[in-house]
Amino acid sequence: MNNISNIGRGAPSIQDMGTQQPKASEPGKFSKLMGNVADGALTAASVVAPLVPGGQLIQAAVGGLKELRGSGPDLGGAGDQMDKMWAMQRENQVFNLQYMQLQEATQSDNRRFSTMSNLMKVRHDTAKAAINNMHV
Amino acid sequence: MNAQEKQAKIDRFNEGDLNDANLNDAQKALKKAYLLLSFGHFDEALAACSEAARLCPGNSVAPALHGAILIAAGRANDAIQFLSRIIRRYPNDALPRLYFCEACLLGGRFQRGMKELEKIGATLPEDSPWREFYENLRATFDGLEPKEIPAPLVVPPASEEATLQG
Repeated sequence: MNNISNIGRGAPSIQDMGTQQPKASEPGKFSKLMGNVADGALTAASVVAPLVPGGQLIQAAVGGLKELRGSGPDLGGAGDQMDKMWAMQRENQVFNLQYMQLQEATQSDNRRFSTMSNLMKVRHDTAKAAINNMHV
Repeated sequence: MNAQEKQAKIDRFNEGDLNDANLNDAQKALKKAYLLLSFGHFDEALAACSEAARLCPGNSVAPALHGAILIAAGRANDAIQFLSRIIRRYPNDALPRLYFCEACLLGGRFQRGMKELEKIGATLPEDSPWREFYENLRATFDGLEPKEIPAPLVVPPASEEATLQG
């Protein structure tokens, strides 16, 4: 039973998604492995179920889980979906970074423009004042 | 008052009158230069400044504005050379020194410009008419990396097309 609950723990968390690098050349490998582990665990549980107290209940639960596993969507396909999602998320992060850099560059340009135009204005005002105050 | 003293007084009066007339003409020429500068006619503005400087050689405003027009035309190196001569000629006038600082800061001689600006700041009175210009130069260039200063937009003499320097 512990092995089943470990399936969830082995899966990458949301925080890991941005940094994890799934191998594009082997899609769904991780999911297939986890599927095999789950199968093994369910088989082992069904074998030991009659030997422990309340085993009938456990056997029924294991049977239900096996049916669910058999009738549910292919885990390998779901893994591919996950890989694609991670790839998209990475792309999204790259775009966000590029957008931030662009924003920063634009802000810097704006700052430079306003300071330089202000300087030009003051330079002109100074020249005007100098001309007007020549007699003083 | 004898005749000699009387004549000296008349001469002084005439001289002052002449000086005033020259100052008026020089001011007129500089106003023309200012207008020409506003319309982007840099060469004509420089010529008007030269005329004003010829009419009123004791005044540093005309040559200072000459330097300012060179800066406005993007000819920062020419402005540095010209204004350094003017500073030697009028060492106590703040205006040509401020324009010199600006030319240095825009012309890639950042350290020299900032050093000169500090010197001016130490002596410029609080009520000086050039205080705002000084403060603005400081505010613009203090804490700015030299590489962040954009290359000046150079307007070559008698040319229709402006180009970026460097």
